[in-house]
Amino acid sequence: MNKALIIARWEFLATVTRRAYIFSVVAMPLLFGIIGAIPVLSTRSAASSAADMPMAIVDPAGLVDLELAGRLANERAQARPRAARPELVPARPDGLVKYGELAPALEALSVRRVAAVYELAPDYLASGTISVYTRSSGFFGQAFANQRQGQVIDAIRASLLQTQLSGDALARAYAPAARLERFTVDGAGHPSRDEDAGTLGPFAGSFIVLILLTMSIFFSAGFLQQGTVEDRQNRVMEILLSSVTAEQLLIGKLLGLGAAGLLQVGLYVVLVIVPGSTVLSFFQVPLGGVMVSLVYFALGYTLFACLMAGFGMIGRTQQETAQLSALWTLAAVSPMWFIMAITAAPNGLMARALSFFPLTSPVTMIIRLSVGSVPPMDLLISVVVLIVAIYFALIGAARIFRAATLMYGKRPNLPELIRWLRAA
Amino acid sequence: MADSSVPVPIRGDGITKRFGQTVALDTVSLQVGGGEIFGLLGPNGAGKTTLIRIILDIIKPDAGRLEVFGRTFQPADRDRIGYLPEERGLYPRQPVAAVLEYMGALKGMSRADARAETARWLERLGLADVAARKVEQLSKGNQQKVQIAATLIARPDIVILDEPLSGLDPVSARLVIGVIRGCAAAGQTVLLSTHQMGMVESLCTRVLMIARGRVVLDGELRDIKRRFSSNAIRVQSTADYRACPHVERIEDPSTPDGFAAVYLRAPATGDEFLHWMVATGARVEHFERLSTPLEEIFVRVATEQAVEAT
Repeated sequence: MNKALIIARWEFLATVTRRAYIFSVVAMPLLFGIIGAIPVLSTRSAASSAADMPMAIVDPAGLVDLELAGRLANERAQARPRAARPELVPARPDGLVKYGELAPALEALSVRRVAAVYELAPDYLASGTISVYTRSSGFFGQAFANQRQGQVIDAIRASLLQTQLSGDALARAYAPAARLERFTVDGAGHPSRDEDAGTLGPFAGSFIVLILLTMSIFFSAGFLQQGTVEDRQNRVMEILLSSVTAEQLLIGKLLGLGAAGLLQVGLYVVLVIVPGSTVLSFFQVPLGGVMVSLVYFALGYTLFACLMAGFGMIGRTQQETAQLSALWTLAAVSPMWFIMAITAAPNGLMARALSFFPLTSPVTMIIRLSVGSVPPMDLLISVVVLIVAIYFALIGAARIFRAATLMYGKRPNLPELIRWLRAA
Repeated sequence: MADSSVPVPIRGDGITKRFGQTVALDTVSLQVGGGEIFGLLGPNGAGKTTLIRIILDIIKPDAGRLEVFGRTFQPADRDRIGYLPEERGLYPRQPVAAVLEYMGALKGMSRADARAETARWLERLGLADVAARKVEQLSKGNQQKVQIAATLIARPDIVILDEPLSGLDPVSARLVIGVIRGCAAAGQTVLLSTHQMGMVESLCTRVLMIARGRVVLDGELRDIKRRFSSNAIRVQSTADYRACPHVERIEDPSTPDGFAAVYLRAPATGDEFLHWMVATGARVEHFERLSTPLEEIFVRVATEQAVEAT
């Protein structure tokens, strides 16, 4: 077997069997999953049980026409775009029950026959006063209560308007933007229909992929850096370099620890994203963009792993190395500072400039791919720039590997570092 | 006489290496033959480790030529050279057997061979029962034995050992010395760097001593010792040595066993002294030329170099 692959296998197994790795892979997502799932599930549970109950309207003046309100709510629900974000509790035409007096309505509330009681004051038309009675539903029940309150208000509005309007005018007054269509205009001025208009889904999905890939770049590169520092502290480096070339050692570590980082992200996806898919089902992730993003992940990881591995050999301790490497981390995530400008103009000057600079290219390209199509020439140039940068980073890191083997406990100064890099 | 058709395992000619203003090696030349145990000596900071790293192609010389197996270093030569550095370098949190198998695999061994050789070396060095333990759970001496096994597991043609007895008790040290002798007997070339001069005297036939980057001693150990001989005789007899015109001084003339160390005045020889004793009718019980211990030679040369440098 190629020696780089032997090293890769060793590094992968040594990393994934570490307690710290297992903890970070399994325990962390479980912890975050539990923390995130409890409120969501409890809210959905509370909302679902309450959704089965109607709401009571105490309407002594007889202003509200429940039949009309139910019919209009039904029409609006059918006109709603399919891709739109689902409501926590869908509006139901039969969701309202009218009571003539407050006392029986409150009794129904206390025995959980109704979810809430809305009492219109006798002078409601003049004052607009509505008294709302609910049982305590806790902090997470607030969103549900607000949404159902909208149903009551819609019913009142429709009932009042029917005395002044009818037919389509009444329907539009009830739901003025029942069918909203959006169009995007490209650089040539041609409009195209945006099927996902009005939803958060596509960008949010891509953004999750962006965060995951960016995270995985630094997880993997961080493992590599940690591994090189440990090898140096354990004095293993000199023995390894008596058996393999510096390039084989570096490539083996890149492959093995990159695989460990990818496995970590993959397990995060399985342990957190998949179980959470019911909540995230409305996020639409463009697969084509994700596949191209994976190319930038691979290139970005390789570049930053080489740089961090080289710096891993310079620092005397893990802490010192981490401080030195902050430079690369800052450079890599710097496109995030311009995310508004990049997403507003994904093919604009700033986005393109950041795409063609190797340190900012991976994250910038992943952002650009998450918000729209990128010209093929931009893809080509950025990939070439990254490959060239990786070549030089690999050569530099290998030279530092070889030279730093001589130095235990001493950090090189800048002239020494330059001499190492220029050494044959 | 050496067979000229067999390539010399290690040959260096005029090797020079500088680190900034410091000259680590200054035109060093050496030649180490097959099946030889060659001593590489020198005080701390003399340049021994730099020379070893150049032999291993970890660093390149600034000038001079280094050949292994009769040619310039080839990447495949790494599989034929085993290296034990002075600083122990093992994966502390990994099992002993796994580390040895990994080191074997990096030297080009198949997985099956590496496993078999791991078992053999652990058995030979008395470590069979710790195969599954993590390296960090072993004593310092046992870690050193694991390191030696890692160096030798692939049966390298050249074995470079830097302080191989570090941290070993006398029993383990004797075991490792036997292993080193076994390597040479099997035709492996051993380059031994150590400060334990007794070990060098018992194992090496030739030595090279470096001080401040320059070769200060090179050649057959026997010749070097003869060159540094003090012209002293350890003798037990009934003669009155003070009466001899060849004697310069006498040490321990009144030891209970009658032994004395007699230092002759140049250019007198031991033969002339022996003839004088016989001629005077003395009864000679013991007559032995005293050689200078290598340690004394080392100290003398190293001190001279230090004085010269100042």
